[in-house]
Amino acid sequence: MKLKRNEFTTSFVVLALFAVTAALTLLSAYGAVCVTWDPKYSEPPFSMAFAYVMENLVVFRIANIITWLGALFWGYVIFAFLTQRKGAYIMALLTAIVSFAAGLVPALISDLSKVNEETPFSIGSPHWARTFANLLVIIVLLIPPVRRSVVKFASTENRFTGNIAKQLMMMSLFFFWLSMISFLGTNFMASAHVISGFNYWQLVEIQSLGAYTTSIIGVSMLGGGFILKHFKPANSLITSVEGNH
Amino acid sequence: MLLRDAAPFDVWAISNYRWTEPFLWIVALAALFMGMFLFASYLKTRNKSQLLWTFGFLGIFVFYHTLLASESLEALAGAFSTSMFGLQTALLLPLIPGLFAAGLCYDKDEKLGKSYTIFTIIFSLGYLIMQLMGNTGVVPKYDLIATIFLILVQLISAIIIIALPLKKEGPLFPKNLLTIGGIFMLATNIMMSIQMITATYSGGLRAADGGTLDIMFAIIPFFITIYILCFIYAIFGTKEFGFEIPHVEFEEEK
Repeated sequence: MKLKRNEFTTSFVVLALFAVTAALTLLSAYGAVCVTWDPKYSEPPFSMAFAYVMENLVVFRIANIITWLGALFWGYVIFAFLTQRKGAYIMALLTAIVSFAAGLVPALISDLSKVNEETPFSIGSPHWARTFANLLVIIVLLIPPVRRSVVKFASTENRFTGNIAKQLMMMSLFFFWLSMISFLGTNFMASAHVISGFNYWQLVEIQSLGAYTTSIIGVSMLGGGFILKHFKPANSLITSVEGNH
Repeated sequence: MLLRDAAPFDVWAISNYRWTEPFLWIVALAALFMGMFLFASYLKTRNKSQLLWTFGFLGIFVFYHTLLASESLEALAGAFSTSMFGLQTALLLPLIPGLFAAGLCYDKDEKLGKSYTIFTIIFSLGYLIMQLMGNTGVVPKYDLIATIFLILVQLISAIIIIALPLKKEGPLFPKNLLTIGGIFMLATNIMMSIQMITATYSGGLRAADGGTLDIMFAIIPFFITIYILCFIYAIFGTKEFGFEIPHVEFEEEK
């Protein structure tokens, strides 16, 4: 089965959308860590500012865990699309729906709580970023021509299918992307947390840790891929022709 | 008064336009992907249009990625940008449309392509020099000359991108997506150009805070997304522009 040019193009734009959604979901997961898990936030003055989190701590913790898992699972979804895995489309749709729900609930709780009216920025907003991104994925995946293109792309044999070396190298790119986003996040998230001249941003440790971890995973996968490549030589870039690799 | 009201509204901060962030990320990443594919295609076909478009897409990636990483839309202000990030990245403003137009010219005629590439490079360099001279503050009106250079390249490039695909043989759709993309590109450039020219006489773009600038910034990223997606589909989605990937066979549409 061969792909049409526009199907190929659509599929790669959609894969870019998945990668962006993964990145925004990861940043959102970092953003909620301090309030959700740090015991300091259960004591004044933080507990007063984040009273709505303390009242719904279980919900926020579950949403945060799902957000972390969702961000990393987008990597598997991209992997599934490029390696002819069955149900890649359904997997993408389900990941988007679950991540959307896990963003919508805390976003609504945050925005509907009274405390937000007295703070200089909308605290619910970080939840909205991942919620909107996942909603966008759901909408895009449900558009009939897009659905047809990505389903065909996912069921078409390509150069990554069955070659572990290339799969490792390809997925290392995803982890490098997450790492880059984590490093950049330390820059622009800090500037988004200045309130009345004081920077409330406290996530430099966990975000740096996330950036180092993902880059180490990326380097290991890339290195592993190169080593394995010596045992199994590379073939063409992407092929949709059976028996051409 | 709520504390939220007390915080000054920074018209340049991307975080004030939340919907636009995912769109700009998609644009940046899709452009990077497509740039790499086009380069692979160029290595196979040695088509100079594709090489110029490769640089165009990579320029888009660098430009919008920098916007996002610096958490500011300053680069869109061109010569009036006050941050180093903005100033450096603003150099891509004339180059991006110029390279796409030059690629289209190459596709039509090699001589025309060469001439337009030289025109783009000379005027982009002129823009750079005038922008730097304006930035030193010695003669602030150099900012206006830089803006005129920028508008000239952007305007001519947009007209080329709109007009040339219409003259190409074969079915209009999706080839004429380039024309639609060119119209959106032109609209974006005109909006920013008007702001820049008026800024020269009204104390700089910063004076426009709270005016029309925030409305424009809410619209512009959507226009950018539309025109870049149009370019992607026109160049990659049809066989008209000769996109190929080594060892890939596409199913050709009749």
